[in-house]
Amino acid sequence: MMRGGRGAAALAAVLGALGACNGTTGDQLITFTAYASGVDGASQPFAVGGFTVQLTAARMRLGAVYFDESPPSTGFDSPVCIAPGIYAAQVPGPVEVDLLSSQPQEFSVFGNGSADSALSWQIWLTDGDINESNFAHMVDLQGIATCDGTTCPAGTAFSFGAVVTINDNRVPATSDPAQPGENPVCKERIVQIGGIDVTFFDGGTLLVTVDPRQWFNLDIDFSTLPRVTDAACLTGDPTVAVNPGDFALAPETPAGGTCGASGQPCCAAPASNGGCDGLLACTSSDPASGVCGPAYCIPDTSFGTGAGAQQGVELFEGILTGGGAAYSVTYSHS
Amino acid sequence: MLAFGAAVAAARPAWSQASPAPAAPTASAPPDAPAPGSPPPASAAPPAPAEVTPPVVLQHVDAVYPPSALTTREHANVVLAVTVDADGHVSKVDVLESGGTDLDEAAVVAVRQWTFVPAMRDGKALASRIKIPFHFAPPAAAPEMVESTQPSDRLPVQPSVPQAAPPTAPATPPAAAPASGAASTANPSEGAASADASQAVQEVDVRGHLDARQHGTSDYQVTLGEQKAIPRTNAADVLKLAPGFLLTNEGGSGHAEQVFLRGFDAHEGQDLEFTVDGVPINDAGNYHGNGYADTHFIIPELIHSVRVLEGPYAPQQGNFAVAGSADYQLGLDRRGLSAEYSAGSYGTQRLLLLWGPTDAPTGTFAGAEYYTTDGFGANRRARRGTGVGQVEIPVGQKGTLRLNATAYLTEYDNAGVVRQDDFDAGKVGFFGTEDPAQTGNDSSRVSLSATYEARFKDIDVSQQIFLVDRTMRLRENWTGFLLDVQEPTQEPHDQRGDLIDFHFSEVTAGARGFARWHGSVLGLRQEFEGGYFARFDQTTSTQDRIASGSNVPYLIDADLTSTLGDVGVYIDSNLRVLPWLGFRGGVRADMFLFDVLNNCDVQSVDSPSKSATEIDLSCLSELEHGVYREPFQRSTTGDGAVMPRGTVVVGPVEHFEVTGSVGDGIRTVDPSYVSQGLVTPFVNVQSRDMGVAYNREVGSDLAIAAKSVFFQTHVNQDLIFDPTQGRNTLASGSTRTGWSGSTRLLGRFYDLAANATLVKAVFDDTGACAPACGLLVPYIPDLVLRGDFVFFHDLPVSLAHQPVRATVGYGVSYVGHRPLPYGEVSDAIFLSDASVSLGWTLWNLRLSGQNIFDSRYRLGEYNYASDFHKLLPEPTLAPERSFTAGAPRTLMLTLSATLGGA
Repeated sequence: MMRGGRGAAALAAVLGALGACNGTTGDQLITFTAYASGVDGASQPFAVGGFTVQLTAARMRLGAVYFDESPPSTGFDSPVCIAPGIYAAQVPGPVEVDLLSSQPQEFSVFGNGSADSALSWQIWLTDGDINESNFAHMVDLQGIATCDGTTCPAGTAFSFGAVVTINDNRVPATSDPAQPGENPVCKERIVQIGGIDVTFFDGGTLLVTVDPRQWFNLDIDFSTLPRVTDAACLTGDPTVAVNPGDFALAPETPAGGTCGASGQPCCAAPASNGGCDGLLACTSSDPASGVCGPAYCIPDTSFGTGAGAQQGVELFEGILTGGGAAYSVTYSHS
Repeated sequence: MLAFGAAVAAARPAWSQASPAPAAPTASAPPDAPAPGSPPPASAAPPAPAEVTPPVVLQHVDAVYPPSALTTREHANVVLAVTVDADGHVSKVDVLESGGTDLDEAAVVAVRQWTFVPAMRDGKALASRIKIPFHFAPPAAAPEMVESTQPSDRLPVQPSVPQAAPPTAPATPPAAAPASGAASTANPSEGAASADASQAVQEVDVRGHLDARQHGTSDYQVTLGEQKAIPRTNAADVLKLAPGFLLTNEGGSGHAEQVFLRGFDAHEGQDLEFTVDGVPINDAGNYHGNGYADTHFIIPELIHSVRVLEGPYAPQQGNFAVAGSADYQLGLDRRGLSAEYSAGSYGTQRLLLLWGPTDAPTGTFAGAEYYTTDGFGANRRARRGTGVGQVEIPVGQKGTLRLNATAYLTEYDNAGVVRQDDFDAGKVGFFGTEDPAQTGNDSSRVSLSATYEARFKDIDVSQQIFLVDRTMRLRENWTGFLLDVQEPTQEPHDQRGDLIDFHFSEVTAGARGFARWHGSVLGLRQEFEGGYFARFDQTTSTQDRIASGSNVPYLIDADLTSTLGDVGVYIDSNLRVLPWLGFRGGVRADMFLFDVLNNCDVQSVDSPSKSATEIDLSCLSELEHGVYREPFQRSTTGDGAVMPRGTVVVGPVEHFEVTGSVGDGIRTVDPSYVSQGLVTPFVNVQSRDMGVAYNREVGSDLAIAAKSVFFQTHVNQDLIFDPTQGRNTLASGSTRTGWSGSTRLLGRFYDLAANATLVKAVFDDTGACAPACGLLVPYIPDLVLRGDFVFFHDLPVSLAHQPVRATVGYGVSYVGHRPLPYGEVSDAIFLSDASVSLGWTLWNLRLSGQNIFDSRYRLGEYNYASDFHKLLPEPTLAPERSFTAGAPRTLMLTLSATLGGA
C-alpha cells in the first residue's frame, strides 16, 4: 500500500543520498584464519571402561570443517552430505593435527563465510572427494591400556595401535532394496556436532579442538584385542595394514631381549619381574631388523567377525559420535 | 516524455498508444498539441497512386490565434483542402471542417503563404490536392513539440521538408513519412482523371497510425533518428535512450537481456511489458522466468521508435508492466533496397538486407539478417537468422491494414559465471568458463499479426490479432557440483553436476483493440477510449539436470504443461478541464486463468515400499509406504485485478508541463507456484510519480526537451534472482524510490541525449523505517547515467559533385555500484561506444566500436555458494564471489548501399 508519510521520508532519504550507495543488503562476507589442536592433558592417563589408558600418539586428518546455520539434521538427513545454501562459514582444506599437542596447528587454507551464526558444524574426514572410498589414514592412534582388574588381572598392560580409514570397511549394507542409497560413504565421513552458537565476523580466528580421549567412552575392552600379527589387524590394502612398523617408538629401558638395530628390548616400562610385560612387540625376531611397536591393534573395520570386531566398531562410533565432548570450536578476535 | 519522441510518435505511433504531440496533418491532431495556430507538420505520407510522389512542405507560416477567439479561449480544429500547383504554390484553399469563421480565415491566411515541393510523377511536377488540419488552442497552454520522421538535418519540429537532403541522408524523405491520424476522406475523383498529367489535380490520401496519448512525465517516445549512428547490437540496446536502463546478459548472445529499470531487476524482461507494434513479446508460463522477453528477433535498423512508459500509468498496459512497458514501433525510414555487410572483432559478421518501396509508407518493408560470431571468449559463439516482412495496405477511404510476419532463430553457447577465486588462482580466465558444457542453447520465434486502424467521423478504431510460436532451450550451470543431494531411493552416486537443460515452447494467440471517441466539451477537446486485450497461451516447460561428462539427464526438475489465459478490458480518458489542466487515465481489469499440469509432481518419497521398483526416477508413482499414485498433478487457479491508473497534467506556464501519476499493476507468477498451491497467480504493484517536462523550440535551429521525475513503486512480492536456481524467485515485498532525468537537444547538425536515474530499492519488512532504511534489494544499481551524442554534417568536400556526409556518434554509460548479497557491492562500470560514418550517394561506410577503451569490467556480480571443483578437492559451501565478464573492445566495419529510394 502506498504510505504517504513514509513515502515522503523515502524521497528525502533518496535525495540525501544522491550518488551514494546508501544502505546494505545485510550480512557481510568474511575471511579468517583457522587452527586445530589437541587438548591439554591428552597424553596423560585416563580411566575408562576398566582400564587406565595413556595415549602415546594421536593424529587426525581434518579434511575440512563447515559451519551450518541450522541445527543438526536428523533421520536420513543426519548428516546431510552436502546441503547447499545454509553454511555460515567453512575451512575447505585439510590439516593433520597432533592431538597430543595443545599448540594450534594451522589449516592449509583460510576460512571464509558470512557474518552469521552457526548452530552446528561438521568435520569432514576426507582426503579428496567425500564420496570416495580410499585408504587414507583419517586417524592414527597408539597407546597403552592397563587393566584395573575388572575384566583382566590388574596391571596387565596392552600396547595398542589403531588406524582408521573410511571405505567399504565402514559403509553398512543397505537393508531396504527400495532405498539403495540410504548409506552413502559420504555419511561415514562426516562428524556432525551440534550445540554451538558461534557468530562469525571478519578477521577472526577459528580454533578447532579435538580430545581423542572422548573416543573411548564406549568402553573398549583392550584385553581381547588381536595381536598385530593377527589377520584381523590387516586390512585389504597391505599398504595401510596395521603394521607395528607404523608405530615405531624409541626403545625403552632395556629389560632383557633386544629388538632390531637398536639392540634394545621393546619395553614401555620394566615389569615387576624384571622383564618386559609384553607392552611392545618387536616386528622381527631378527636382531638386525625389526622395530618396536604396539602388540595389539584395534581393527580398522566396523564389520569384523573375529577378535577385536566389537572394538573396531566402538572406536569408529566413538569418533563419529564424540559430539561436543570430543570436539569443540571457538571463534575469537585475532 | 521527450518531445521529439512525441512528435515522431505522432508520425509513427504505436498501435494504441499515442504521444502527446503528434504531427498529424489530419483532423486527428491531439488536444494536447496546443501551439497557437501552429499546424502539425504536413508530412503527408500518402499512399498515393504508385507513380506519384506527394507534395512536401518547403516553407510554412503558423496561423495566428485570432484575438476574437481569445474571449472564448476555445480549442478547435480547422481542416483545409489545399491545391498545390506544379510550381509549389498554393492555388486554391477550401475549408473541409470549419472551426469558426475567424479560425477558418486565420488558417487560410497562413496556408496561402506556404510553399511546397510539388507532387511529382515520372519526374514531372504536377498539381495536387492535400488535406491540412490546423488545431487552434489558446496561447497560454504549453506548446508541444511537433516531430517528424525526417532526416535530422532538419529540426524535427519543422514540417517534414528536407532543406537540403543529401543523397545519403539516412532518414526517410518527408514524402514517405506517414502522418498520424486516420486516413482522410480523399475524393479520388477530384482531378485525378485529367489527361494532362502535369496540370491534373492529384488527390492525395493522408493515412497513418493512430497515435497514443501521453501518460505523464515518465512517458518517453523515443525516435531513433540520427541516434542510429550509435552502434546498437540489439533491440534492447535502444531502450538506453530512455533514462534508467541497465542491460546485462550472463546467458549468451541469444539469451534475453537482464533489464534493470527504476530499481527493478527485470531479469530477462520479467518486470517490463514488451511489445512490438502491440504484439506481445513476454513469455507467459516460462518456468525459467515468467515474462521472459527475448527481443533479439527485432532487427535494430527496423526500429523506428520505441515508446517507454516507466511505471504502470496507462490503462493500456497489461501484465508484466511493473517497472513499465516498452513498445517497439517498426518502420524503415531509408527507402529502397539496402544491403549491409559488417565484419569485425572475434570473427563477427553480419549481413543485412532491407527493402522499402519508395512509394510506400515506412510501415511497408522487408528485412533479413544473418549474424555470426565466434565470441570474445570461451563459450561465446552465436549464430542468428531473422526475416521480417510488413505491409501497410489502405482499406477503403479511411482505414489501414498492417500485416506482419516474422521468423527468427538462433543457436548460441553460454559462458556462465566465473568464480573469483578460480580466476585469482589462474584456473579460469576472465573471459573463460567454469563449465564448457553450457552449449547448445537456442531460441526461435515465428509470429503473424494483422492490425486494422481506421477513423470513422469522431471515433478511431483499432483491431489487432496475433499468433506467436516460441521455443527456447537454455543450458546453464550456476553452481557446478553442489545440488545433487543423495536421496535414499536413488542408487548411490556422487555429485553428478548441476548443469540444467531447460526447454520451453509456447503458442500464443490473441487480440486487442480499442475505440476512441473524441469530441468537444466545455469548448475543449475530450477523448474516451475503451479497449480490450485477450491472450491465450499453451506452454510446456521442462528442466532436467545433466550429468557432467556423459551429458545424460539424470533428474527432472520440472515438467509443466500449462494453459494460460488473460483477458483485460479498460477504459481510458483524455480530458481537459481547463486549457492548462487535464486528466488522463482510467481503469483496467484483467482476469487470469492458470491451468497447470505438473507431470513430475512426486520427486521423493520418505518411506517407499520395499518392493518398489521405481527407486531411481524423478517422477515417482508412489506415495508413502508404497501407496500407488500417478506422478502428475493438475492445478487450476484464476483471479482478477482491477487497476485504476491516472495522470494529472498541469501546464499553465509556456513550455512547461507538470504531471502526477498513480497506477496499479500486476505481474503473473510462473506456473510452478500454481502447482505448489498458490491461489492468486499474480503479484500487485502500486506506483506513483511526479515530474516536470520542458519542451521548447529556439528559433528554427534548436529544439530542447527535458524531463525530471520522482517516482516510487511498491510490489507486494518481489522477484529476486537466486543463483542457486538460476532464476528469479518470489520474495517479500519491496519499495523503490528514486529520481530520473533526461534531456535531448536536437539541432541542425547534432542530436544530443542524456539521462540519469537514481534509485533506492529496499525490502519492506527489514526495518522499522522502511522503505527509507530497510535492507537493499540486491543487484539494483543506485545510479545509472547514459549519454548519446551524434554530430552530422556534409563535409566541405564532394565527390563527383555529390556531397559526402559525415556522422560521428559517441555513447557513454556509467553504472554505479550495485549492492550484492552479504553486504557487498559491485564495481562501478564505465563504458564508451563510438562510431564514425561517411555517406556518399548510395554508399555508407561506418566504423563502430563498443567499449572503445577496452575496459575490463564485470557485467554481473554475485555472492553465493557454488563449487566447480577446480580450486580444492573439498567443496566450497559458503558464499563466494562470482561474476560474468563484460565484452572487451569490439570493432565493426560496415559497408552498406541503398538502391532506389528517395
